[in-house]
Amino acid sequence: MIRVRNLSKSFGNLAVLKNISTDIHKGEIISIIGPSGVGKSTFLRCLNLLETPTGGEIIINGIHLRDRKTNVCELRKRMGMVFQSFNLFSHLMVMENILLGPLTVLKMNRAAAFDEGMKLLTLVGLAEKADAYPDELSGGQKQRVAIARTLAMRPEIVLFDEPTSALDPAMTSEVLAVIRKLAQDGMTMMIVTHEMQFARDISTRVLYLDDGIIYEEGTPHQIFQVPQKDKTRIFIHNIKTVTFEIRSRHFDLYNLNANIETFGQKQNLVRKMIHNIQLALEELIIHKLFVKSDHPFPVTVTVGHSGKKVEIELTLTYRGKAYNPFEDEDNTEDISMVIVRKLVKQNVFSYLPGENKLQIIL
Amino acid sequence: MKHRHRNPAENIAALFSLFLFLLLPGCSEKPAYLLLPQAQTSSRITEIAHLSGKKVGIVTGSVYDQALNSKNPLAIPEYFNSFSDQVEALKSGKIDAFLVDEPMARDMMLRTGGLKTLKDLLTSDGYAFAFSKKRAHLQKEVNAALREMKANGTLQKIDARWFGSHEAAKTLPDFRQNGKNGRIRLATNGNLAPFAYMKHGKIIGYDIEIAMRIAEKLDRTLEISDMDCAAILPSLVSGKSDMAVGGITVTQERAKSVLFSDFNYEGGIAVMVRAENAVLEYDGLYDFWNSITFSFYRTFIDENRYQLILQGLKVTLMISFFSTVFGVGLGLGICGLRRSRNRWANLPARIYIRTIQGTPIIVLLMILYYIVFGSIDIGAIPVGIIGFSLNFSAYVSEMMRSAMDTVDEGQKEAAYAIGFTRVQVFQKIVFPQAVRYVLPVFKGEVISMIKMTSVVGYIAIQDLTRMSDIIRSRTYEAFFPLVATALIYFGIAYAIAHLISLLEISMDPKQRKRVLKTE
Repeated sequence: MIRVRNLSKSFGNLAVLKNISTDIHKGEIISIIGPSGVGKSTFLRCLNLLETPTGGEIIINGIHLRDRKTNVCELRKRMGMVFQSFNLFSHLMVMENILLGPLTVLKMNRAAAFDEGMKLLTLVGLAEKADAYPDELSGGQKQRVAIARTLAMRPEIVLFDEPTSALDPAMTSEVLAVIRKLAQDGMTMMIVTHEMQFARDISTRVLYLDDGIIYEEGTPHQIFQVPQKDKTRIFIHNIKTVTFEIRSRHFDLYNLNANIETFGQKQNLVRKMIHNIQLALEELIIHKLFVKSDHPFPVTVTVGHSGKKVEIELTLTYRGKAYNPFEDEDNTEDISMVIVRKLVKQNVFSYLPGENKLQIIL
Repeated sequence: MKHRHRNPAENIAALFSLFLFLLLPGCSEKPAYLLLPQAQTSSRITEIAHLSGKKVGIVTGSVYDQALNSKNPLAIPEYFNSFSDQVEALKSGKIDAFLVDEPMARDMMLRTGGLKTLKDLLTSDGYAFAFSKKRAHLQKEVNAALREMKANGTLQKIDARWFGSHEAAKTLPDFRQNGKNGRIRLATNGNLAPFAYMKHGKIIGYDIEIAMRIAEKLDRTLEISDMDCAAILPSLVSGKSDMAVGGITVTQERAKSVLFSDFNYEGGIAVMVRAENAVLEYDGLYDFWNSITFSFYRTFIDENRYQLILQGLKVTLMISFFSTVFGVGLGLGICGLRRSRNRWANLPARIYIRTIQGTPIIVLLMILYYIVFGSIDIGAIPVGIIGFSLNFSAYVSEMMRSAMDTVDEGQKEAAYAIGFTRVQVFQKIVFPQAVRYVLPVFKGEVISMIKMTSVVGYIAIQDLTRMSDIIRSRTYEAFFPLVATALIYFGIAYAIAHLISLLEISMDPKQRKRVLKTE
């Protein structure tokens, strides 16, 4: 139904979308998740040309969207869009908001459009608000009217751009319930959302956007239970990280320790855990890596903590030939490794030519 | 449903109390005085030398200031637009004397008390017809006719008619103008009794009768247009008129730009001062209500002057209405260009708005009338409408632009997402909302524009203000015609404000009725 190829979008020098390719099929419910500012909304807005892409192709039912000859209005008619800020027409009553599109664009008969509008208002539970003005409604009610307004155009697909981000939890659930109902009716939808539980329940497919690309995609199970890539995992598990870079043997150890301390306090780690991180890093870097490796620089240290768990994840990357301190125990009197082994629950080593990567769970 | 607007009765009450406040001082001692300060009993002026250091009224566009300067350079000239203003200024002590052509001075003294002229004339000179430089032929014909009239005594008869005190005789004889040789477009000012003035809605007078007779002699028709004094010469030079008359003094400087006929009247400049018993003239003559009734009669009923007011009102309303309609239309177009992202559409619109906003409306009207349409035969009223439409469009454009900027970008996006075209978004979303923002400001601008139309007298349009000037020039009364005119303008402004308020209410979601049309 919609095919996106190598879509890119820049605002000035800032490349928001670098290379997006995907296909959207009829009946799919696609959730787009990812950190703030990675272009989720921009991607959605490119699909109906509210933003003009700077590169790539979007093909809807065989029609090239970026072709100058394409009648954009004609395509937009068949794609509904629901906005974060509702965007109801403030000078019109609820029913007039709903009727404006069908009467103006679809040239529907007023009586028929009115009947359908009432049905839609009933569907979203707001039939009694037909003659209210937008500023007399709560946020959740406004968003439900906006959904009804979109449905009145009988779209083939509805794009939801963070439909609940401006709402408090009670209103959020009103709106999500309506979207769930649409899902049951088989509406094709793309939803940019921060409601992870909702995305997991409702989606047929989840796109994780980061770095201007579709960083990872899959079924809700694949993305939420067994994410394959680091950034996805960090995002899904709500992992907070801090990264340090060490450029020489004479680096400022006290400064590193102080920063780890600050991070640990922010994450509410117990004093003992902060101390353990500092100890493990000092042993591994100064007493093993600096001794055994000629030129490991730059060494990067990432400390990660998931809000959901007590564990700490340390990631070290360094240059030079393959070297795993956990497989380098020439004698049992290697005090450093004795200490480290006591602290570490789990370790994984990988080596790509030129780059060592050591992941440790404390 | 709450009304945001004050109800009409409240407004009328407020207005009425304002007037009561103004009138109160008049009710106590010197009722007929009303707003006029009492004349000062300054040292008496009996000869021209006494004018040193005194304020002397001079009508703008005349040669009086040169004459005054040569006879008494110590006198201080004060400039006025009409003689009726100067009569009031003199009586109220704002000036100590004013200069006026001797025959007019006589007429003034006939019509209003409290004035007298100095025995000596300031200068003696002659009045003549003026012609555009291109009408040398007409000048010759007129001179020949004038000479004949002087020779056979016609001129003396005309003189006796218009300068006599027999009011009923002051009418124009019937003329047969067959127009075999075309027409003469005559520019004059209907404020110059007894040379040219309005009576029963018609312009008559000494100069007019001579002009009629000449036209008859030359087998031409005479088309008279009444305009502001200051507009007469530009009208000749630009070719809008062929000939001008109305106490026009022959001077060297004027002769550089126009041609003059032989003198049709020999007179001079008189100095008008207050009579010694000026204060008593007013005091105790009428009680307050009688004076109002008398003024009302003189202003509206006498010589059917209400017809002048109605004519003027019609013209004012016509100019206001069409200027509003065209101004809004043009303004929306300009606004569209101004909002365009295309430099070549945007830049001309910006230049247009700056230029129009930076040009005083009077200057704009004069430029349009005498320069742009100078050589085209077009009525003054259409030019007035064009001028005010241009002027208003610049303001409408800027009002709409700022109002349209207040319309929520998100709502426009939502409309585009539904599949609206740019035009539909404008029609259905931007315009209705912008109009709501703009109406309160628009109301003020329309009213201010209507009031501004009072300057159209400069291009020979007889609107409400000009008609009231004409009436004042006949009655030499300032208070009543001015207040009456003000009240009429107020009435128009009130009606317009009310109409736009109704529109505002119908646009305001909170005030309009919630009826959902199902069919």
